[in-house]
Amino acid sequence: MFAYVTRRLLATIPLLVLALYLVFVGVSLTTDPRADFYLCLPRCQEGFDRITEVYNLDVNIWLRPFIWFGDVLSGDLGDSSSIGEPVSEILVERGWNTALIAIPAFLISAIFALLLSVYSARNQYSKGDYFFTGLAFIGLAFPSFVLALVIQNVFGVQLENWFGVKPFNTGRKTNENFLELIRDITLPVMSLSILFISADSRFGRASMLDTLNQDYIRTARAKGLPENKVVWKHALRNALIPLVTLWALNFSALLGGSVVTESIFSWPGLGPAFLRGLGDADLDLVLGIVLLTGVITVVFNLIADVLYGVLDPRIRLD
Amino acid sequence: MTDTLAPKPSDDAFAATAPLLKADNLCVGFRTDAGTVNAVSDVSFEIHPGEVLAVVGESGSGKSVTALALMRLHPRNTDITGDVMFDGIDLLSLTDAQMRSIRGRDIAMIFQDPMTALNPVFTVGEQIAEAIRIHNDVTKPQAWERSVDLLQLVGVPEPKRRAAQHPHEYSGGMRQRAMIAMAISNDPKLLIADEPTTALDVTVQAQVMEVLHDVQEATGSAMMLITHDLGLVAGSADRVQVMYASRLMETGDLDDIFYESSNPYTRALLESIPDLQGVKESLEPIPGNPPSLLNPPSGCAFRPRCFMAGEECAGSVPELITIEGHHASRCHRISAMPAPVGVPS
Amino acid sequence: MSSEIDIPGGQDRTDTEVPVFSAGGVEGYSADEASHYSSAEVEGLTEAPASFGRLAWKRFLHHKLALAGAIGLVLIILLFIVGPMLSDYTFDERNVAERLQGPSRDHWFGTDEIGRDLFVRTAQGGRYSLRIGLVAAVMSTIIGTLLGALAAYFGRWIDIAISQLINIVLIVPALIVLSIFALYFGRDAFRLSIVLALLLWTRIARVVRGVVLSIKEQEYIMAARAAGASHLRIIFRHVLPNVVGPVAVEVTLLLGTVIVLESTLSFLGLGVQPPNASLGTLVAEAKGNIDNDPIRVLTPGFFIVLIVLCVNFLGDGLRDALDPRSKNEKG
Repeated sequence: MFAYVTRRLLATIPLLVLALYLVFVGVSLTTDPRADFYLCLPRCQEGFDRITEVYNLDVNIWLRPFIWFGDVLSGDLGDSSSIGEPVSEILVERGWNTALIAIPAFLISAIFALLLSVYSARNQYSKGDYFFTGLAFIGLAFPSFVLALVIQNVFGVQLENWFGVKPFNTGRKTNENFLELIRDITLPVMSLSILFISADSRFGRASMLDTLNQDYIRTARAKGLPENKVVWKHALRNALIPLVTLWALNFSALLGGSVVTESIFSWPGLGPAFLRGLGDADLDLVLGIVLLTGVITVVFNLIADVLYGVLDPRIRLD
Repeated sequence: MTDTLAPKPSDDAFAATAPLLKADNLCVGFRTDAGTVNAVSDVSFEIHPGEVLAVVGESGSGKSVTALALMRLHPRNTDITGDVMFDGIDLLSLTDAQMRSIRGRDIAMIFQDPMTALNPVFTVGEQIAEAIRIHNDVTKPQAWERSVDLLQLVGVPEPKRRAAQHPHEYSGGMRQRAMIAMAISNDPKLLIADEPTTALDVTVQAQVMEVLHDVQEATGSAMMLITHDLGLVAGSADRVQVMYASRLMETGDLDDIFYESSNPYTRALLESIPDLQGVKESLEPIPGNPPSLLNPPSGCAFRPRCFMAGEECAGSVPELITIEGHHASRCHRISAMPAPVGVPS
Repeated sequence: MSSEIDIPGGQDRTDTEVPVFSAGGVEGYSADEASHYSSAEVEGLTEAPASFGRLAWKRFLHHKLALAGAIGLVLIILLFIVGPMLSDYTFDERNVAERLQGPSRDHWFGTDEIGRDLFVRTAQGGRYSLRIGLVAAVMSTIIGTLLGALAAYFGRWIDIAISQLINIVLIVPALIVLSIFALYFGRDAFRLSIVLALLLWTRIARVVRGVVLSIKEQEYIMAARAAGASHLRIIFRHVLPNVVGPVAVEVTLLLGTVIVLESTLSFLGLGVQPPNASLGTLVAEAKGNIDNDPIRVLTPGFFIVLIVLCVNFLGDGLRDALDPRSKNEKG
């Protein structure tokens, strides 16, 4: 298994590097940190030169990524010009905030999607099934920002006596009270979860239905197994296999989705930082975030691969 | 679990005992968007304890549906009418819970495709042991021991090692043996084998049939052997019933069917068996296709393909007429039946 | 007769989402598909299956949701095209005197901060979203089908190269990459579509690759090769017909994804640029006043949801119509 993991890493890391290279070049083409300086030349020549040096802007654009790679490998992710802190610190601090909503969203959607899938598959064509399928369809049709706005409006404003107004400008409340934290993350987590529950439950339902139609389920029933055991032991174990890999892949989609959701809820995670960095031509920050998301995606893909091999005895991991 | 060989009663002895399973006017219909499909029409039969009844027919004849209906494993949109008495119990009126206690214990089933009939994520031993644990109050280790013993009984080499393997590590023939082991694990009174060798290589078919035969004799359970292959039947069955387009066409003892068949469909089936000893000169497949069960032809369902169809055959569905003893045939023109020729010995 | 080892999709886990199109995709039902289901369900139900296309069409028409989706889309498109013709205003006509009005006879959806008629703007935004979505979907399809087919048909190096290309594209979350590139490379609607297409072709490529791979090994392909058919002929006569179905399904789903992504980008200010507006931009414009006037935010959002919903219904109906394994068990 260790050999398998190593081999997969060796196979995927070059891809990651290539992706990062392309993004770097793309970012360099689209953003010019010296944009503000062109107007004040030659007065601000010094500032101009400084930026040129910091971002290696005199180096050929196709070679610049390698300098950045070198820096990254030696641990230097640069400094953020828009926020004013080292990028690595920002990634940790903001990444933690993002994790605070991403991980609960992930867990909640996984559990709910599973329960809904089993229910829908067992009661195919029942009213409940149609109801949840309908909900899932609607949930899937909502772009994340519309959903977030709706939730924010309904729960934040209309039900103001319930939750109070979500922290708009100050981000997370500074008192580390756990209850306050729950209160803060509820809406963003709900927003993220609904989308993924919708997607996962449709896939899970299909997977479960497919599994329930298999011959070995009929054999299990022919043995006299109670239906509950047939579903939760025999069927689920098989239906989970593609589902689990879907979850692992979903996690990186979660990261993309949180960009928008965090902005709307003013949650101080990676999302708003990213957008701000884009707006301010903060190359190091943007690239740092891209690096982080890329690494996370690769790691979770690897986890999905390993899980698939663990869950399905037909797959040999060597 | 009995290991001694029970002496096989003669045919008359079978008839003398009360039937283990008695189906009367069994009808199974599927409700589809296009209408109701009558997969099984008015089928009645008996199986006596220890007896092997072969149910023969082409795809679509309704033979598998009959078996599934007995086990009540049919899909949801199905109408079943008729009576099925098993050991004094009315099977069709049982609750789900009651039926479950019968499945796998009193009546066990072996399915056609062993590759898909076993759950790929559990070990073979675990699946057999599970069948045991459902109906018996034993511990897991005990059930595991039993499953290893069963695997040995059905001829799986290195049963201890094999029990811990997953189905995909077995060959087709071994998988079917494992299915047999699972089916007999609780000494069922009735074993239903639905085309047990159809999905296997020809060379393996004979082996698996032998295992099935041995096991059936050793346990003394009755067997309902469903197949489209008349050749399989000759070596194993006591009685045979032939189905076509949802109805029973002919039923009788083994000799009746093979040597004195009184039904043109059965005759045609016999004619189409390849004979390795070279007695026959040409293979005679039955011309045409089985009829649509949504829109069956009027009168006898076999009429369009029958070599001796007459005018009366288009009028009404023939009754099942008793010829002698158990031997009965559904045909308007039994009296016009030519003498059987070139029957495999 | 039966193969011994059966490892479904295990070698290439990345294809978990690929619908496996089993044998006989074009000619109708085949016995192989039947082996999974109780023999009764397939045994002798009908004599000879009608042509695949006709069966599919019939199934599609029975799928009420898909029909509703199709009709809904048509109605929405009509609304977007015909509606503004009935109104007196254009989408960028400012009438500061009439700013921030609620819905009225003149301004059906009211006006915004600088007096523009919101109904016309919404219709305009809708047309924009749809146009970008369609163009991007079409381009994605072309790219994806081409690459997927090439990868599967010629195999080996080409397959490896294209598969790895797909993996590269998928490493960084789509929205993040789009955010970086859309603003600069996609300043106008058409170029925005290109940027979207360049990122979203991967799903179609995977589907096509899966279909072609499963067909490639079929015996009728080998028979055609043995008879001397050229690659091109094989591709057109045997491969493409089987590909059309799954691709059609994917394209409708892709359309939904594109519209969602485009509106998200526009919402963030990175997509369609002023004075043009897509539905996403309109939501952003309305967001500032959301506490007092939530309806204004919800209206363009509602249209986005409606469009995507219709498209998804269509895609679901297509999928059910084309997959012979549709569940027929309605009582």
